[in-house]
Parts: sequence; C-alpha cells; structure tokens
Amino acid sequence: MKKGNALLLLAVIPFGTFVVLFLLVPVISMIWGSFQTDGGGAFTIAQYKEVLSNPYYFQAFQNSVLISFLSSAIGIIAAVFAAYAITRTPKHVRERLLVITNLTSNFAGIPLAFAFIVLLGNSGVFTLLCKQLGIDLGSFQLYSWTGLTLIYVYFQLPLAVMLLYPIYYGIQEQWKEAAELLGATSTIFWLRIGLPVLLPGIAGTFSILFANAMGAYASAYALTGSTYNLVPIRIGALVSGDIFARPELGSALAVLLGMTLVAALLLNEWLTRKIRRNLS
Amino acid sequence: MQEPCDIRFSAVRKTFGAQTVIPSLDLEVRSGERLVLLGPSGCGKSTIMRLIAGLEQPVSGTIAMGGQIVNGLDASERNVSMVFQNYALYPHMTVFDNMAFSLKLRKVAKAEITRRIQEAAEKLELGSLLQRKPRELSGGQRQRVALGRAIVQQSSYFLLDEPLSNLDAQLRTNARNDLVELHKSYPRTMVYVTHDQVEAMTIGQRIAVLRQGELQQIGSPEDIYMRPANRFVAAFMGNPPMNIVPVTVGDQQVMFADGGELALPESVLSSLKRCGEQHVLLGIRPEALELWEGDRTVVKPFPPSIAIRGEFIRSEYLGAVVIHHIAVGQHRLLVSSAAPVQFKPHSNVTLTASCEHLHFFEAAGAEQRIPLTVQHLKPKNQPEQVLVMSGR
Repeated sequence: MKKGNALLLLAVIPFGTFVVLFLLVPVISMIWGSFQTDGGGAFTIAQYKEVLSNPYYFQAFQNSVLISFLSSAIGIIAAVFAAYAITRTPKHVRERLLVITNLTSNFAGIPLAFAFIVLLGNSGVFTLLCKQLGIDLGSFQLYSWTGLTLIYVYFQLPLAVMLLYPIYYGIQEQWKEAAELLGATSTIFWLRIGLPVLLPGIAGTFSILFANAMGAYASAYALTGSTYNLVPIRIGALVSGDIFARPELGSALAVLLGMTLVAALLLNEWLTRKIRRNLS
Repeated sequence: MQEPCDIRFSAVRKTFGAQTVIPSLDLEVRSGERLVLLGPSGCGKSTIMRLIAGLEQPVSGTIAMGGQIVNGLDASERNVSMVFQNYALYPHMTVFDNMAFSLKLRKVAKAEITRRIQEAAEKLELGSLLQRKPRELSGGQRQRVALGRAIVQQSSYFLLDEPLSNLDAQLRTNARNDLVELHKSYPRTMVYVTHDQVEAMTIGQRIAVLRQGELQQIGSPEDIYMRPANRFVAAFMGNPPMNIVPVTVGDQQVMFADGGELALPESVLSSLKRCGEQHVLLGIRPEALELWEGDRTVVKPFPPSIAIRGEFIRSEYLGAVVIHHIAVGQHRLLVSSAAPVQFKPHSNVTLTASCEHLHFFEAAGAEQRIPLTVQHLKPKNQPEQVLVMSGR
C-alpha cells in the first residue's frame, strides 16, 4: 500500500470508529432488540404485532406524520420567500442574516420550548402584554396542537432557509433579463422558469424538514409532556419508562419510525431525480 | 446616401453607485446597420447595450429609438431581441419551447408560432434539434438556438452581447460568417458587443471603439485600422500591435529619446510643425515595415519612404505570418512578414516603410492623431529621397 493511502486510512479510523460505535452498533442493537420478547432472551415478532395492531401507536404515527408534513409545508413555503429575500439584500446585510439564521436553526429542543413558554405561555410576556393592551389572542393556546405546530415551524424555518438559500444562485441573472426582453413579467418568470428550476432543491429540502420533524423529541416533550401522542415521545416513554420500561417495544417503534423516514427519503429521491431529469 | 439614424444616445450618463461607467456618450446607430461596440473589459460596451435593451436606465441624457425617446420604457416595450453571452436558454425547455416562449406570451397563434420556428430552424440548421433540451446541444448549436429565439420575435433591433466568446476558434470563424449572412436575411439594426477585434472587423459595418465609457472613434473597419483617431485606438486595433515610439520634432528630422534620428520628408515635417507639438508619438504598423539584411539606404523612391537601422533579435513563426523583433536603440519594434528570414541574432538590419503608413499622435492629453500631408509626386530636379534613421 502506498504511504499516502495508508496515512489517509489512518486519518479515517477515528471517524470510522465513531460511526461504528455510535451509529451502527445502536442501530443493530435496536433492530435486534425489536425482535426480542420483553426482558429479552427469545426471538419474537410480537413487538411489531403490538405496534401495528394497537390504535394508540397508530395514532402516534398519524400525529407525527401530520405535524411533520404540516410544519415542513408551512416552513418550506415561508422559506422559499425568505431565502429569496435574503439573496436580494446587500452583501453585508445578507451575511448577518445568514449568521442569525444559522444560529436559530441550531436553537431547538428544551431551550426553544422554554423560550416559547416565556413569551407565549399562559403567563408569557406577550400573552400578558396582549391582555394589558386588550388584544384578544382568540383561542390560541401554546400547549395545544396549534402551539406545537408553531414551535415545529419555528425550528424548521431557519433550517429550510439555510438549505434553500444556495439554490437561488442556480437561477442565472441572464435568464431573468432574457425573460424580461421576451415579454415575461416577474410572476411569469417565477412560475414558468424560476420555480421549475428550483423544484428539485425544494423537494430535497422538504424531505430533510420532514425527517427533522419526525425525529424531533425534546421541543415537543418540553412543551406538552406526554399530552400529545407522537412517535418519538412514545419511544422515549417506552425506553425510559414512565411506570415500567419496555425497550423492546420502543425498539420496534423506532425501527418503524426509521423505515418511515427511509421511505420518505426514497420517495423524495425518486421525485427529485425525475424532476432533475425533466429540467436538465 | 447615409442611412437614417435609428438609435441615438445624447449625452447619456450612467453610474453604478459612486462609479461612473459612462460619463457622457453621444452615439448614433444607423438604420439596418451592423454596429460593433469594441473595447477592453470594463469599457462600458455591455452597459451601452443594456441601456439600449432597457435593462439599465441612464442617470441623465436621452436614448431615442426609431425617433422616439425610450428613457424609462421597459425592456419588453422596446421591440428588442437580445442574444446573451451564455445564451440564457432555459434548461427545462426544449429548443422549440425556448424559441416559442416569447410568442406564446404574446399569444401568437399556434400555427404562426410553428411556421416562424420552422423557418428560423431551417435557416439555422436546427430542424432536427427542436425537441432536444439545451444540455443535449453543443456550444455552437446553443448559440444558434439563442439566435433563433431572437429571430422569431421579429423585433426591430437585434442586440448581441459577445455571443461567440464561448465557442472554440474554428467554430467562431464559421459563426462570424453565419452571423453576417443571417443579417442579410434579416436586415435589422444590429448592435454587437465584443472585445475581439477580429470579430469586430469581420462582423461590423461600422465599429465604435470605447475606452472607460468614452467613444474613441466610430467608423468603418478600414477607417479604424488605417486612420486611428488616437493612440489608444491605434494600439488596441491590430495584432501584433502598432509600434509606438516617442519622438521629438526637429528641423529636418525627428529625434528619438536615445539620440537616434529619423529623416522625414518635408511635407510630413511641415504637418508635424503645424500642429505645434514638439514631443509626439510615432506609430508604424508591423506589416507596414519591410525588413532588409544589413545597412540599406536606398529605399523605394515613391511615395517617400523612411529607413530605420536596427539589430535583429529573433523571429516568432506563427504559420501565416512571422513576427520579427528588432532593437532600435532602446526601443523594440515588431515587424511582420509572410516569409521567415534567416538572419543571425544581433545582425544589422534595415527597416523601411512608406511615409503613407506613418502615424503621428500627440504625446500628451488625449493623444489625438496628427493629420499628415504626404507628398506623393517626385519634385522636379530633386534626387530620390533617402531618409534614414540611425538607431544603433
């Protein structure tokens, strides 16, 4: 083996070890555990049978898919406009906006839930301020499905902006100018040229947002505890055990969650490839 | 008879922030002509084209097209077609859809769209490519699609922004010719932007040479090449470039900075003295110089000629031409000839040129051309003129 190659291999070893220890081993252990009886010791498919036949777990999947789809859809629509707006700002403003977006995209989990509680909770700053000013917030409740969706959209939006922002640079300025000379308005340009070109990027971003939301645990748990039946919260409850732990059933749920994500990613990959083929 | 003016720039000024790109431009494009805007990068030629297209608006001054002032008019309202440097074809549309885009927007009848596209495709040899996407085409084919898209619009003005710059050298030669032929088939007012002087000379009926947003000269390719208006135009046009040497005007001759002298005919000297400049620039194109071995004093009698003595340095063989480097005092002159020479390095040589081919420019300010009067007829009872410059 050449000396250069050996050195490269040596450099990869820490990363490879990390992947094996913290990704492969847990995944294999999770799959293995999902085929074990409670407490382990014997092979069974009973955990899957229970997950698939119990309406409670089916509802968890339904809720997770629904909130993931909804928050991803709202997030992506808002991000399409927001990312475009960022590309139109002067360079120094753009750089600052991107730093802020990057920071907020990493602001999730318990701190985010806490921030929302402080601002919009029953005794939140804005809630009290609105009461003081006589502004009616209607039936809005942070600890409701709407509140949960709002917090999901909040952490999806900056991530979507970060992912969508670079794809706008695939739209050549001369395409716009040519369209203008050919008699197209700005709306026609975006509908007939801009959007079709952006579509693979939008589809790819949507799938990442969907996966991001499906796996979100801390924000939802910190905000609503176990009130809302979501897959990650169910897995957490089964693994850590509210009353008693059932890690094997939790593993089966986790495997099915993983399969849902893989299915979503594959569907997206197929769609993206199809759109790209049409575009190129 | 001169064609009427079709596009007129009057004192047009354009700035981008604090940067002035075009200080004040007056320019006329004649109806139906091919005008080439030529200049180095950053000279404002593309900005001028964009001002015509309506993609940019002037800060002050007026732009008139077809007799109407178009300041403030949108690009779509100017009846202009434009071919961009990178062609700006839409990647998700077929060749047909790219060409039909503007016609569909203008709600032209389907049959008419098909007719126009087929006619243009036939002319541009795109007939078999109409269902292909741009990525499936070569550079030359893409360029023709961009031309086709411009043609089918049937606009009054045809703007081309360096459309050949992405093609290889062989293809570019053919494309230049195709463009000229195409203009004959579709005789619209055409403005063509390039930094390539060969493109400018071959495509343009007139060339406008620009520098830092200012028009240096406008005229036919012959005018620009044979009678450059100033030092910039003289040096910019021609490859290899014109030899330009600073000289001081004396009583009987011009003197070089290092003491060499060049005897000139009285008529030429009188022209130089008339302009009142003592320090001027002498320009001679490399192909206007003839190269002789050794010292040579008798040159072609008429028209009056000059002889410059120098030292042969080396030759560059380029195939069709050979470029010779000759040291004349502290200056290095370039001579181009069709045939190679077998001179030894550092051997004595003589360069001769007809005085008709001498150019003089002011050495200061705008470095404008100094008009010369060259006596072509042999004066009676006078010996043949032997005009020698000693540079060694």
